[in-house]
Amino acid sequence: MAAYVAGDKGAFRTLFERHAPALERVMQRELAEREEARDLVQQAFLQLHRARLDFDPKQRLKPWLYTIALNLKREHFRKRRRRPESPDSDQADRQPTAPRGQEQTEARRSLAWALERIPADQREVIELHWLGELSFPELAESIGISVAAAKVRAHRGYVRLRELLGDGALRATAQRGAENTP
Amino acid sequence: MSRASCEDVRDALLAGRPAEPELVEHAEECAQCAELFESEAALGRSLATAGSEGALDAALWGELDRELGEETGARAWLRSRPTRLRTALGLGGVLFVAALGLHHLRPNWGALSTPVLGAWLFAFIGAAALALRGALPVLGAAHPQKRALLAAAFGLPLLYGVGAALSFGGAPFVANPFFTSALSCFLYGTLLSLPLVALVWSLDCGVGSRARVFAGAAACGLAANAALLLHCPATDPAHLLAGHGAIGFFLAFVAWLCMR
Repeated sequence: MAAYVAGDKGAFRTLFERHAPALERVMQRELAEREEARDLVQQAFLQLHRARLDFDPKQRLKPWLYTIALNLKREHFRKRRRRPESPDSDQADRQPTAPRGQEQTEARRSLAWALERIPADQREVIELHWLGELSFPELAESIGISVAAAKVRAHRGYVRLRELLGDGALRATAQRGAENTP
Repeated sequence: MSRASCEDVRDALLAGRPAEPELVEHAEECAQCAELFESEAALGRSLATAGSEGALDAALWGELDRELGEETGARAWLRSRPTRLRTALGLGGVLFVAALGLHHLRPNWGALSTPVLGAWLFAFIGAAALALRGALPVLGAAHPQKRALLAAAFGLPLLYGVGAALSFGGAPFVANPFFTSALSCFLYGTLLSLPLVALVWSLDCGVGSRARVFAGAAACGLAANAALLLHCPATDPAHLLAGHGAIGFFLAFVAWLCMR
């Protein structure tokens, strides 16, 4: 970012390529349409460009970028005036039982089903940690809480996920997911 | 004390690596990582499958690059200035509009004592700075303080108006055919606020939060009110409410219409 502020235009593309995939994953999880997630990612980087002169080289870029993106997402949902939908919300009331061959999708669906059922603050921490690949200090900074509070939220979320999915089912879906991961 | 961290545990699970001894040692000391490793790391591996999905669409950079290319002109330059400078420019605009009131000072101005004038000036600058600070946020600042913004947008101008009414309430009324009409004051005040509306719009970097837009509208209305207060000798509460106070609410209403 410091290089971009100093005038290296190529540095912004490097930043984009480094951070956009994880950011898109985080955005996509709660949005029904991929197009909406892409639009929010694009907006987040546009805001980052506009705010480049506010950037302090002593700051970490990733929490800053995610704070911008999360604010945009909140505003997006506020405009829609309804609860965030997950891509799997149409199947929210049942655990899917897909045939073999769709095991990886099934694993993800089961997890998405369970994530929808844990409190939003716990879900947010888990998603930022796993989909956004933020460290606990980074995600704590992004959402404005202490590192200890972030870890407590993650712990409660993990406990609840295990309760919802059941260890047996988790083992099976994780196993199938791993088999299908390239 | 283990040297591994929660992030090392996550990265190992994402990469599908087996749990190394130091990761297991970390999990023994860390409550949340312990949950990931329970039942043959079932939850950890399940979360890893979600974390590994999706790849970036190459066309997205092309779209962003095109948008970046369109970031030219005065507005793009203004809104990419550092937040401190944008706030200072906005506050300068507020003071400029308020100072327009000095151009044709109300005839009963002398009824104000110096402490009252000082308090009024302090309240005005404070409220305008708060409203502008809300309207022109540092991008990326965590958790916009919505309640504080709305308080700045509506509460402080209200306090300011009450204070002004109390300060001028005892002053003798001076008849002025132009300013006795609430509609005239409303139109004149709205006109006075327009340069500031344009400035705040130019400085806004497009975060678009409703609270922030309302705060900006209130800052503009506040400046117009201050200018009117210096101009208009009317002390009638109905006139002050309809001709002066309504400007801020009108601007907030227009902002709301634009946001829809």
